[in-house]
Amino acid sequence: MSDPEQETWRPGASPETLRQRARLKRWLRETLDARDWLEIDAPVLIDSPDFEPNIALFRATLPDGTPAGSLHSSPELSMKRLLCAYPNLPGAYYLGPVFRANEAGRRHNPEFTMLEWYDNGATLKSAIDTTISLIQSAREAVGLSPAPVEHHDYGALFRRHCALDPYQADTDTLARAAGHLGIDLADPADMTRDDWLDLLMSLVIEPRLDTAALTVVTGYPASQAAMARIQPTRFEGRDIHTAARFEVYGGGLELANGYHELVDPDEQARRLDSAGSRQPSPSQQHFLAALAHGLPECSGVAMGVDRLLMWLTGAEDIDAVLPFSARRV
Amino acid sequence: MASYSTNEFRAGLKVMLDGDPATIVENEFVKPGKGQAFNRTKLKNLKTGKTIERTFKSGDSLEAADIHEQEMQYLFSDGEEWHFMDPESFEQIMATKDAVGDSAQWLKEQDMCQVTLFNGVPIQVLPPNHVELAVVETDPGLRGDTATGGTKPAKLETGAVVKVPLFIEEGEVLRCDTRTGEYLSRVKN
Repeated sequence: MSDPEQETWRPGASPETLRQRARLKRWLRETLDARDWLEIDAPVLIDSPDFEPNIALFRATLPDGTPAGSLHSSPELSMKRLLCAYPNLPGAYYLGPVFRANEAGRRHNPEFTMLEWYDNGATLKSAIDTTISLIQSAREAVGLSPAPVEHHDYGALFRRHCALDPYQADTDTLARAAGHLGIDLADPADMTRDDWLDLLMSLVIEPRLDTAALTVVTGYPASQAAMARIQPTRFEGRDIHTAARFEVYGGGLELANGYHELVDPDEQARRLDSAGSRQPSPSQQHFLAALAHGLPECSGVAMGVDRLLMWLTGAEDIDAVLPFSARRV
Repeated sequence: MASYSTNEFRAGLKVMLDGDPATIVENEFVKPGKGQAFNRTKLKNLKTGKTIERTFKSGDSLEAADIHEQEMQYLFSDGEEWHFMDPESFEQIMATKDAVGDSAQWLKEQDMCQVTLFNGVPIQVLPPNHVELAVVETDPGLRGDTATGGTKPAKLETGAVVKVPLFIEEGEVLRCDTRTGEYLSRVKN
């Protein structure tokens, strides 16, 4: 019996999906080029900037075993250095592969296609508008009508679905809420506050987002700012600080993540420090030197192109939108 | 014993969970782009048959369970113990009532069964999908009635009771599906 699922020499995507994939990439390039943004070939092989606590890198080695850097998980540092050097560029984008070790599943492939752009001068609000309009016109380009757009506040989502305040709740409160919501976590011992928030976001909130809508979430806790600015705001009558960051979901599927970028070199150096970078690597030193020279006010957005294609085609598994996912290489 | 890390989790993997052997039924990797990764799994306890959901922080691991599935020939039972034989080594092994469970009603001497062994001890026995068993008890047949579609219960030589067409007589051999417990056909001699 030949079960096509078992024939792993075959591509996962159908010829129609592969054609849509090629068309989508061409269309994205044309649309961004029309804004006079510059496509940048960011280097894929870089030294090891280990500043994302939850992203594991693929390490490269020379034939004699000497470490030779990593495959990038995002072109962020290169793209920002470029904007520091050429602050008159209206925008720049990267469309190509990025790599994240150990991320494999129905919605993840360790090698995936990222569209990451930096919009010179853009505020968070305008970055959200650009992202939504790009996704809506991508829908139009494949013959779909625009999706309804919902805007949600991170704090309000946690209040509604988990009955707690995500900015204040301690790990005990978060663990109890997870238990009440039917989550049985094998080993909760070393879970941080942010780990618990990620767990509730992934298992409780995301599945409850409108499956037909594009959902924009803002108001992420300051502890999840990464390279975004931190801004004062209010939640339930209190003054708090949140990250100038947004996520866009297509029917509960995370499609894009955007920041109003941090431009302060001292604050950036402190964050790299606290993320466990003992001695900044050469590329981090280049990055900090570039920030000291001056990064123009800008917003950056990273969009998963395979995820977008999943949402546009209704695919349940990323394997169905890739020629050869990691299950087939 | 070896252990499996979450990135090796896949359906069918046999692991130790809360002291019992279990099989992974479903494994889903979930992770916000910038956030902590988790594996949301469904596991079936191989002793109780119960399925539970458990979430693991990615990078956690579970001990492997020493589980083997083996084709074995059913020999005999005294009602308390069921005896099986490995057709290659001729080694004999005994299964308890708990391990055999509802399968007992389908077990006919010399039939080949699928036996699940945990640390060498049977914890589950599955009869062949299709068995041929004689009727030992049923109401008298309505000769010639092959059209009305009515059914009646019939008790088979191994103890199972199946619904059969009205024309079936005691002593006839029937082909049955043990997964559904349904009568399939008469076996002609």
